[in-house]
Amino acid sequence: MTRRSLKLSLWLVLAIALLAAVSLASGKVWIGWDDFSSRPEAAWIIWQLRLPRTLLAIAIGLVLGLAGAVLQGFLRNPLADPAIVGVSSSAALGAVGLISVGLGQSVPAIFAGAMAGAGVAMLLLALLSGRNASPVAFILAGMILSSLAGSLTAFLISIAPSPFASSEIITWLMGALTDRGYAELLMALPFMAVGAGLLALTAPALNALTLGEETARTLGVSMSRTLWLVIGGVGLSVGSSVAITGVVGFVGLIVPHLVRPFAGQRPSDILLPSALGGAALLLAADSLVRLIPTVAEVRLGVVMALLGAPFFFALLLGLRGRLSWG
Amino acid sequence: MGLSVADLSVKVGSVLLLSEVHFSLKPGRICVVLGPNGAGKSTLLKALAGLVPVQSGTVTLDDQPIFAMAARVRARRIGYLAQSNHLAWDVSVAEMVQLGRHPHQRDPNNDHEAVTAALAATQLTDMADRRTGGLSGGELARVHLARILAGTPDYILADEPLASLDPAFQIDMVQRLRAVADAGTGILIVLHDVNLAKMLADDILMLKDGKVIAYGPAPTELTPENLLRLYGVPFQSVADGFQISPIKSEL
Repeated sequence: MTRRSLKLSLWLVLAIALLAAVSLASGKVWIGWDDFSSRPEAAWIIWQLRLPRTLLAIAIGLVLGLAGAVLQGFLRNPLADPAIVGVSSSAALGAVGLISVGLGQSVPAIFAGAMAGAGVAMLLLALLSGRNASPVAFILAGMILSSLAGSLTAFLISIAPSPFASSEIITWLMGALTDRGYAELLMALPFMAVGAGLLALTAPALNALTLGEETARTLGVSMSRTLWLVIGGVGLSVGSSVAITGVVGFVGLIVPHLVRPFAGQRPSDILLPSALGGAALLLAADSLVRLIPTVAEVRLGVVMALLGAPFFFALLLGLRGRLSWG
Repeated sequence: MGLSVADLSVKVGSVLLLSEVHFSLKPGRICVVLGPNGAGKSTLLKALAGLVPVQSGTVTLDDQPIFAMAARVRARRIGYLAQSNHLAWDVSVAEMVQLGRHPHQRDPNNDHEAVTAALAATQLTDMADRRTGGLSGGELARVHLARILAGTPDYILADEPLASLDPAFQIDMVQRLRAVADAGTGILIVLHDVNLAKMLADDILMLKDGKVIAYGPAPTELTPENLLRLYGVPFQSVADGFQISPIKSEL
């Protein structure tokens, strides 16, 4: 890791600390330091309601940012994002399946459903792209999976037994950290930790892939090992994050691009800053949804998409100059 | 000693791309592979680099069969310079040269030393911090060579590394490759320009339709007769090389 990548990481840790403080203070009532230190009920709100939510925002942002950076490196494509490999939509399908049979209030059930969905997605990805371990096969398999899972989800919404059930599903799909607590945090953390660990192991191979798949292989990179690490890492970490929040897109797409101007373009140099940047971005967005004065809280996934889509557009316009598209 | 290839055949689907290819590459020598488009030159290099599966035949590296070696172990001994130079990310020259160390067990001291030496050997030390995105094709070719050298391989496979370079950079690379060979590395290199081949080659391997039609020391094998058989157009020997003669061949 280079010095500037490390320096950026330190700044991002500082930003996370500041944003975490804002995140803890914001909500239906703003709780400042005075309230926190003098009123026991305010302290209870912070410890029991807001701290787990803040920690979840950090953990989920970390894995989404990291997964995005790894996928962009693996696919050698700056437009890659965890959503395109189908894990998010499959995990969402698993959760929606359980909500539609009336288990929407049970946190462990939704979590198990989403992880099962992610697991099936990992298996299918491995089956469809594992044999020749080519990134092109991987991305095609991911696109097949995400459109299949998306249409099955739409099917489940359309056959939902009551308008209440379908609205419950749609609300869940929009992604949010509202009312998430320590139980969710403890369930997701082991999966996220293992997934992030697998993703971090890909760093040297990602660097070699800068030279193209063929040359990387002549340097001794095992494409199949790298593919397994990517599938396992994205499946576990992104799958468990979807299980907790629903689908929150764009973090993995945006953050690596924000990081590169400061940390350099070498894939291994942007992994840590992207993870930290993802945490900072998600903390900021989750504080924002609570500070916007609307009747009901704006969904986190909606805010991320509102921020993400214009960014994606600007990115395409910027890339058009560099690639020869027109 | 050396990289020995015996009866190597490569088949993709039902198409035989290489048929019983037989030659050997000795340390410190440059073997130039010549042949028309589609003769199987790139396939030969890819087979030796482990990129395409081999139908039959044996390839040994100092008497050890290379297809039984772990990819990383083989990568330490054989460097591969690909035809296309596209880079996915705009990394610096030094970062790119460092990638040559990938096959070696991470060893910070040795890595740093090898990278510094490779940069110095290719006169890239002053450019170490430059972005590769801003380099010319000729400079980038040199960075790729430095990347190979950083891996300290015993043999180098190079697939038309001079094809997209201007004449000055071609001569520059020819001299650098000669220096690398003189230091003891064996080089197998695909070329299209028979004059560059004459300048560079110790040995010549002529491939046509996947078969070896001539193999041996350059002075005896690089002749107008062999070139006519290879390309189907007549060549004339001129002072220090060859010239395609304008008369159409009968072949």
